[in-house]
Amino acid sequence: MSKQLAIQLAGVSKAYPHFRLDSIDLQLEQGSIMGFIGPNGAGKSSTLRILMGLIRADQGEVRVLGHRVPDEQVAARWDIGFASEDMRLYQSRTLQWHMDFVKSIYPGWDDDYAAALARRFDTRPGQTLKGFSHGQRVKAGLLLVLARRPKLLLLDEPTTGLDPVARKEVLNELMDVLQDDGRSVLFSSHNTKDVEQVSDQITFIDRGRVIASQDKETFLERWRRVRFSAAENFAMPDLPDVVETRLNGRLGSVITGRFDTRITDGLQNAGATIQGVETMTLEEIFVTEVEASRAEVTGAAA
Amino acid sequence: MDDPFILSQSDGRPMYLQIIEQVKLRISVGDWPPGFALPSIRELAVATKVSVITVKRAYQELENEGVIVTRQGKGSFVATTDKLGSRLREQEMEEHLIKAIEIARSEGLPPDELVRRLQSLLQGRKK
Amino acid sequence: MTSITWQLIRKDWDISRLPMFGYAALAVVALVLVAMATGATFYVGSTMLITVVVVIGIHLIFVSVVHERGKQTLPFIMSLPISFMQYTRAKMLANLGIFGIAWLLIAAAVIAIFSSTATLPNGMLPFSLIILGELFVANILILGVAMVTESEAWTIVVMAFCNLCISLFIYFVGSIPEINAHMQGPVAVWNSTAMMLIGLEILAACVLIALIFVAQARKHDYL
Repeated sequence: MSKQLAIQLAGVSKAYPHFRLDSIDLQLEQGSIMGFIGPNGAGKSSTLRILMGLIRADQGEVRVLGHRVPDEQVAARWDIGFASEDMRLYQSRTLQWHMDFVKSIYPGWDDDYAAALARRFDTRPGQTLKGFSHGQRVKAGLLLVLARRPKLLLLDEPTTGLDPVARKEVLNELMDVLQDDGRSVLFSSHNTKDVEQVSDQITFIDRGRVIASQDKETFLERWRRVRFSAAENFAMPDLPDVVETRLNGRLGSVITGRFDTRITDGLQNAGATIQGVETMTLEEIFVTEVEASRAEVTGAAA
Repeated sequence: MDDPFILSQSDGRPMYLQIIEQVKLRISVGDWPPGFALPSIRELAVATKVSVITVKRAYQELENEGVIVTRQGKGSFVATTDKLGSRLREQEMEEHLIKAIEIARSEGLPPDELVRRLQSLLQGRKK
Repeated sequence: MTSITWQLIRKDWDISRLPMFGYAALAVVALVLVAMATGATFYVGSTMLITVVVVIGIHLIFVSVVHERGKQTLPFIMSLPISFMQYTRAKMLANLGIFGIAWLLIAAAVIAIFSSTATLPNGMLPFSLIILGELFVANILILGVAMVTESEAWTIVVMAFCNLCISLFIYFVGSIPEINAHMQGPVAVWNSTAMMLIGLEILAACVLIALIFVAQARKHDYL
């Protein structure tokens, strides 16, 4: 039995004068966290705004918490908590004023949770937003979203520009949300380190295209760097699913996104000695994926 | 629930391996006796701030190794195998020995020599 | 009206409330000057009154519409469970409601002053209300431009244009013979010309409001 999907994007495209979201496919299971990773300007914000119904896709199908978006965006938004990097609060008002405002709209607002979050986030409800540091502002925005316990959190770069302590506070709260297996989180970042530990699903986006979307363990399991030393007159064999090959003197390495024994066997048959098979960090995988995807696009255009 | 584990960001190994190791450690020191109910996957994920899918994978491997058993709808428990704790410690020692054998082989050290070295190390310890 | 619409209106009022009380004080000063009914105070008072009415409207538009976008509080508001049309309705109601109440109070005060001050000719009343009416229509126009174009620059251009038009409009209405003939008279004469001008203003207001809703309904991207 397949789990319910919190988010479902199929073939979603949106054209801008100098940018295009190109046929985005994305699925997020209920109860899991997805890290949405891409360089600045890759299309992360646009995708999140489409999910919120704030901008309309030119093509494709969007479903959020079972609602069709944009047609049923209002119904969907009751259960979505959205916070984005370009979102500001009212500078002249206190955090408490904002809390009261949000509370007046959502019946699910939890006063105790809000007060606890304010303490944990080191933010004073009585202070006006003008006096908040960047980190406190981001956390205030998250507090307003979290304290009403939405089923789906859509967070655009929630950890960007935060110091390590604040970043940890934010990530901890995201994990806490997952205590309830009916709740889900999609958060974007241009930093793989923020995403790596807490995410169940990882999606890479670059230049408006999703270049990979998988559960994290499969991701980390499939990618390997194989180091080898070559015999004299070594000729690089034709190996399946290799995205990067290096040979410098007699030492070389290959990187693959679908590791299995075909790679090591292939190298050994060609006369190489395997020095080691290494796992890769998400950051290394991300950079390799982006480079491979860009090379492919450039190659296809040429 | 408090975080029962000490996980390291600078440890180069994948996170699921670290979790497996920490579970085994809890069992071998006796904190988690046979039949002990392990935290649910989601509980442990929230407590350790590690994704659900990673904890799930660690539990699956532990189950495959026979360290824990999962009963449908009831959760996971430490296996009631005899002397699981000491067996795990032995297993760990064996892994280290295998590593030593591999290094010896790659350095061209004959097996006799390896045994001799181990013996001399043991003698050294006794003194 | 849903409760969210109401909360949005309340929020806009809360944010612009303080300056509004300041403008109210200025309006009282202006009305006192008008009521003193000497040539100089009447001129200064009425100019000041027109300015206060214009500034109240512009202040509201800037705080609730232009700054909402410029200061990036719009993503926060649009993340709430409201449709863009509900948002539009809330903004129209907040702006025209608060401005409308201020406008009505001032119009009522003007009528009261003319009726109760012997030295002020009641014949000025239709002329005064037509001028006040124009201020209302101009306010809707500026509000519409701010909402529909989403551009601070265009809002400022149209605002400047509207302000220029006030003195032209006063001159134009004052030089219509049917209006001019009764201005210094002891009784307010609501002849067909005066009624037609007021009718045109109401019509313009309605058409503008309808156009704003039509233009907003055609939008698909809200941020």
